[in-house]
Formats: sequence, C-alpha cells, structure tokens
Amino acid sequence: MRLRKVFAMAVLATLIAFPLIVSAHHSRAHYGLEEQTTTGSVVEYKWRNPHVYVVWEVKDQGGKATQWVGEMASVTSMIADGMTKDSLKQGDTITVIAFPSKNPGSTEALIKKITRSDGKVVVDNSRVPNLRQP
Amino acid sequence: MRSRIILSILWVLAAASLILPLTALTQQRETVYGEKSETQTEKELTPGPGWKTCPRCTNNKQLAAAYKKYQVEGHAFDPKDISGIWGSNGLELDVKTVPPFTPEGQKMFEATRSEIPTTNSRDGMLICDPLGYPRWYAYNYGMQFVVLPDRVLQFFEWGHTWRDIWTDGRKLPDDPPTPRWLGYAVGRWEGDTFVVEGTGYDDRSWISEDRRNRIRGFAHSDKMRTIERYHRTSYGSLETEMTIIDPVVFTQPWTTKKKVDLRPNAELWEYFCVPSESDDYNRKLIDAAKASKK
Repeated sequence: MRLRKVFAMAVLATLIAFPLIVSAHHSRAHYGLEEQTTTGSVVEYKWRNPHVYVVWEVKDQGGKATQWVGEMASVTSMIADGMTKDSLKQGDTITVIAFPSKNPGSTEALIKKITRSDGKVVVDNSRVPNLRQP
Repeated sequence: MRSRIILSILWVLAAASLILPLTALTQQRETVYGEKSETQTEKELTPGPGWKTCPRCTNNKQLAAAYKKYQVEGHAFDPKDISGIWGSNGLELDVKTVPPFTPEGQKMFEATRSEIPTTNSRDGMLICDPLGYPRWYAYNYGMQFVVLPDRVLQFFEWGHTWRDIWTDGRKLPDDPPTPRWLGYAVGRWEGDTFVVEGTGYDDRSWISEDRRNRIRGFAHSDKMRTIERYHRTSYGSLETEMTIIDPVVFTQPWTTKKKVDLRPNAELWEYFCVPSESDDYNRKLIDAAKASKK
C-alpha cells in the first residue's frame, strides 16, 4: 500500500514536470511574449528578403526619439498576409503592436499588427515564428 | 486521510500543469502565427492578367478557392506524370525519426552549435551559401517537377535553382570527380513510383536545420547517399519518402514520409539569397542579438 502511494506520487511529480520540459521547445528565440503598442513615423520600409522589416520612430513625452526595427517574414509570406511593396512609405504615421526583444536595451521587435493613421490595417497577426524560417 | 488529501491536491496540480501550458501555447499560436487575420484576403496577388501568384504568396483561403477553380478534386491524372508545383515551404524532415549518431556524427552535430541562443550563427544560409541537398528538399518555398524525355528537372523557388535527375539509364558515378551541393542524381520508375538515388554531396551543406531548438544543424559527410520515392496518388497529391544514408554520421538510415499538395494557382517566383540583402538583415537583426550576449 505504501509502495503504491510512493509510485502514485512519483507519477504525479513527473506529470507536473512534463509540460515544463515540453514548453521549452516552443521558445521563440529572443522575442518576448509581452505585446507593446507604439505610435510613430515610418523611417524605412524594407520590402526585401530574407525578411521584410520596418523602422519607425517613436517620440516620448519629453520629445526623445527612439527608432524601432520591426521584423516580419519573407516577401512572399507577407504577400500571403496581405501586404504589398506599397503598404507603407516613409513618413506614414503608424500604430504598431509588436513583441519586443528580451535583450536589455534592444529596440528590435517582432511585428504583430500595423495600422496606418487613416485606419487601414496593413498587416494583422503576422505569422513570424522565428528569425529565419517563417 | 491526510495522504489522500495530499494525493488529491497533487492530481489537481498535475491536471492543471498539463492543461494550462497547452492552452497558453494554443493562444500564443493563434496570436502570433496569424491564423486569424483581417488582412489575409481571398484575392491573390499576381503580376497581372494571365500571370499566377507564387506558392508561398498563397494563404489558406486562396488555396481552398484555387482547388475549386482548378477542379483539383477528382481531376484526371497520370500517376507517371509528376509535373507540377508541389508545396510552398519544402518537406521538412521528421526529427522524431532521427537515428542515433555515430561518435563521429555526434561530434559533427555538436560542431554546428550556434554561439548564441537566438538563431543559428553557424548556418551557411545566413551568408547565402547554397542550401545543398537534401536541405533544398526540406526547405524550398515551393518545388516544381518538369518531366523531360531524358531527365526530370526539380526546381526550387528558394535560391531559384534546379537539380537534374537523369532518367536516360546512366548509373550514379562510383567516384564523383568533385562533390556538388546538389550531388548527382538518377531516377527510374518502379511501377507508379518514381525512385531517385543521389550521391556525391558536398559536405559543407547541412541535411537540415535542427528545428527542435534552431541552434544546430544536421551535418553530413561526403559519403551521404539519398533515396527518394515519389508517388502521385491523385491529381492534387504526391506521397514522398526521403531516406538519408550516411554511415559516417548515423547508425541507421533516416527516413521521412510525407504528403505534399499541388499548387495549381501558382508559378515559381524568384527568391535569391542576395549577399548584400543578407548583410543588411544580419547587421540589423542578427548582430544586435549577438552583441547583447557579449
């Protein structure tokens, strides 16, 4: 009886630990899981492989400007998601929902959604799972 | 009694620990991978009337519409004609069936380990080295077979290149004069199955990236051989089997079986790995990650 209880406890302990082991394989490199929403002005829109990216400048209340680099996926993947070479241009005001890098001080982010100031959603739920192979 | 209460609490914890992370993963996948997207339209992007979209430009809505438009279901087909564009990303190798390494293979695998945890810094793809074969099979943004009387051409959008599979009766070279990124390949029909054998691969390429954690790649030796089997089971479906035999690296052959769908709405576009573009990308997004780890 005592052995059965010990066995049951061991099984349970394994079950509790198991998902932690599985979850570790789903890490998304250096991007965090916390969303950040910023509004700023497009500095550069690079419609290029291996991954499309946008640079936008955000000003804080004191007027200090920070340039963010937002990563998306390959040109053809972004076409599937509804983007084109003309989706953004320099000077456009955009609101960006993105997952910033976990690296301290980094201004890189993985793009989730971009909306232009005219209300047009440029990309929604970008499906970038990792740096190189979307 | 007390131990019963403890056991009950542990069961609840176990159930929660199994369910909660799965729920979190599902939410993360829906949020980040974009299965729900208001910008994914049904209208395909093409260069103009008469032109087609590209395999990877096609989202699931567009593919479903294309299957109706081109009447793929029930369409007549010749099992000995494997022409067409297949898939949009390549036939990823099954890491669940990776055989045990030899001691040498283990060393080669470890030597591919990245210096940083965020992306594989030793991956030749970052500096536009050719992907080689079978990596081009595993990752290609769409693959096209073109059947000619003396060979089958296997085109890949990624890298915009092709492989010759000779069907004119020649044998594989016993001692190839020089290794090649895409090796040497000959094909033959066994019933309705097209069988391709390859050899003479350049050992600078990887078999594939190790997608389990993306910090290593599967290295191979110049002794690697490949055997592929392709069987068209319907107009829209191709069953595939890739077997990798490398006695220097693996103790057994590594086989991956898959099925790949026809892309009737697509033609191969152009994806070159351009060194200047890759430099720009690496500087902005990869080197920054490296720098933060120093």
